[in-house]
Amino acid sequence: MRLGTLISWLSSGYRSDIIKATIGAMVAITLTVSMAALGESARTAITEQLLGGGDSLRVRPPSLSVGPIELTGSLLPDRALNETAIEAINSIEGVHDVIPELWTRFPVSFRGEIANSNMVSDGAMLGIPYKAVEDDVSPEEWSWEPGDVIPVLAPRSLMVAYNGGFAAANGMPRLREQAVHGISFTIIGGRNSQGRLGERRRVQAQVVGLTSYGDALAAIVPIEVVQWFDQELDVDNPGQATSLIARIEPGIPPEDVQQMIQENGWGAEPLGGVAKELSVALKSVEFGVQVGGGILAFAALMLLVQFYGVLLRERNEDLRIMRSMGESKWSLGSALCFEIAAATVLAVCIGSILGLGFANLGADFATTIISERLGVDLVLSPTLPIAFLSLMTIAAPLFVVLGALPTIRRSLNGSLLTR
Amino acid sequence: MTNPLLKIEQLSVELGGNLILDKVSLSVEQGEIVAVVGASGSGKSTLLHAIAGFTSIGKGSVIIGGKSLSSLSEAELCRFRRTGFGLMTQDFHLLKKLSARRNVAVPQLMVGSKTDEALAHADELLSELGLKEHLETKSENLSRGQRQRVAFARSISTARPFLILDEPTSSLDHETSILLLKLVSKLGNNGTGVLLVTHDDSTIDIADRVYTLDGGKLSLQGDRK
Repeated sequence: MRLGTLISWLSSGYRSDIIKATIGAMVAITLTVSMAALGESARTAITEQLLGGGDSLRVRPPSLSVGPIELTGSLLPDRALNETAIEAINSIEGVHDVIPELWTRFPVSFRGEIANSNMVSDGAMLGIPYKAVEDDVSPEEWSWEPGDVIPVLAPRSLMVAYNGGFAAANGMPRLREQAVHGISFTIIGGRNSQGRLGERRRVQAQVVGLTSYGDALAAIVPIEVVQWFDQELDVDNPGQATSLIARIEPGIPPEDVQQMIQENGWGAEPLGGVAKELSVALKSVEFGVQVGGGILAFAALMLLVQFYGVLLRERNEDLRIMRSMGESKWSLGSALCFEIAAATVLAVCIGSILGLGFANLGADFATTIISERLGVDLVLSPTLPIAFLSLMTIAAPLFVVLGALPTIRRSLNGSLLTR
Repeated sequence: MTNPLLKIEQLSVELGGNLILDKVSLSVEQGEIVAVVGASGSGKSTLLHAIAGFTSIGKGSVIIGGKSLSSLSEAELCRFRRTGFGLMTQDFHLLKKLSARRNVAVPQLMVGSKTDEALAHADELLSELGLKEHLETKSENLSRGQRQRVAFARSISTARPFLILDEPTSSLDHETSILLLKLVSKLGNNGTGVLLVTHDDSTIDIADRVYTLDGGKLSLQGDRK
């Protein structure tokens, strides 16, 4: 008998039961896939958007330490990185490019209003060139000349810290990412709550966006702004870089580059401490979800095997009849294996598609929640790796067929029509 | 004289320590209708199952078409069941979830017929047996008499040299019994060897030879030839 006809006729009358079992497995696979896809997309989004993509190192001037005491900046006469030093670091193997940074070396305070509350805060500015933030802001927005309002990029990590704890602790409303745009405040250079340095300078500033740049808790401003303050406040070596970001070539282990930089006498530390830890933590959560989902999928497939076993016992009489009429065990066994494998493949494929669909629906929900709670607009794009889907499509039916094989064998080895 | 289609020699079958068949010898020639009668529990069905290869043969031999049943491999046994004989059992053994026409078409599909041709032939047979209105009815929803007719139609749906019928008219009314027996006679006239097991006297009227099975022993009751 042709396999197709045999499968079709043999399953006749039992299809609704097979479909029910398939739907059960499909639901479990849907849940597993949606959890896994959502977890992976959240981790990727946080890594990409908070960490700022690839690996980077923050390089500081040669340090001096006495025993365990780090004396950087205290005793060295020259804290700035000069052109030669920047060039030397840029030429180290594995360094893709460098971004000079200029941190404020004078007291800075901010005065402004957030959600109708007056705020005064000490802080710092980090001056950087446009190429460091070209993904976050346009060149027009980032250009500055003395007399202009200073464009400021707020660090996302600061936003998370504000919404995640500071706001609640101080009875202030959470801010969404969009709401941060346009906030105006005054930057006071040369004075903070701790003291003053020379003449103070007050300049109006405005937030033009958020950035993941540099893992820094500072107001990110065009480098020209800090250079101007340096000159106005008569800081030593005005305008010279105080640190730089070394962006590492893709595929090169950052630890190797870090070691090379340090061997040349520079201080170097990997960026993204908090985001990286968060990413690692999410990876653990995701692993947990995958294991949990895997167990759920395993249980669902086992249930499918068990259910199929019960169904098969109901069909023992039919199998005996078919064998008594001359159908071989091999063709009957093939038909039964194909039947359950097809049901599993269907459950995996539809379950994966539905799971991905639910993950995308969940992504919108999760995005809204994260945005409301942390004020960060994470873009979650759940996807399913083709390798995972291929593996599931092959492994799951194989697993189910192997699980059902003993029952199939028992059914086919039963007695013929002796009564 | 031609070789018999079926030749049973000194066949003994034991089930659960009880001797069910005791040195039974029997032969069926081409076109011959042989009836075996006996009371319930006399071993009639066991004899049929031994011939069909469902029960292992203890002593003696069953030779069908010149081949000893015990010498056949599993694959040869399968082929033998497909092509060697048609079988109608006492309990009919229909595929309960399949329609009447599909049940009848199954043996034809097993020997390579196309589905539409097999179903068309099944429709013809079932119509001849008065089941035209029930072609698409699932066998589990048919009456016992209707199921018996479907089982009979299935047993004769492919051209096979030998036909085994176990109580073929037990659930049929008089008219349908006559119709069915006429068909069996027609098959016999066309060269099919028939072995029918029954306790119905009207059924043995079409038989060329009649044996009695009693306590596992077979004895010739009458021979019209």
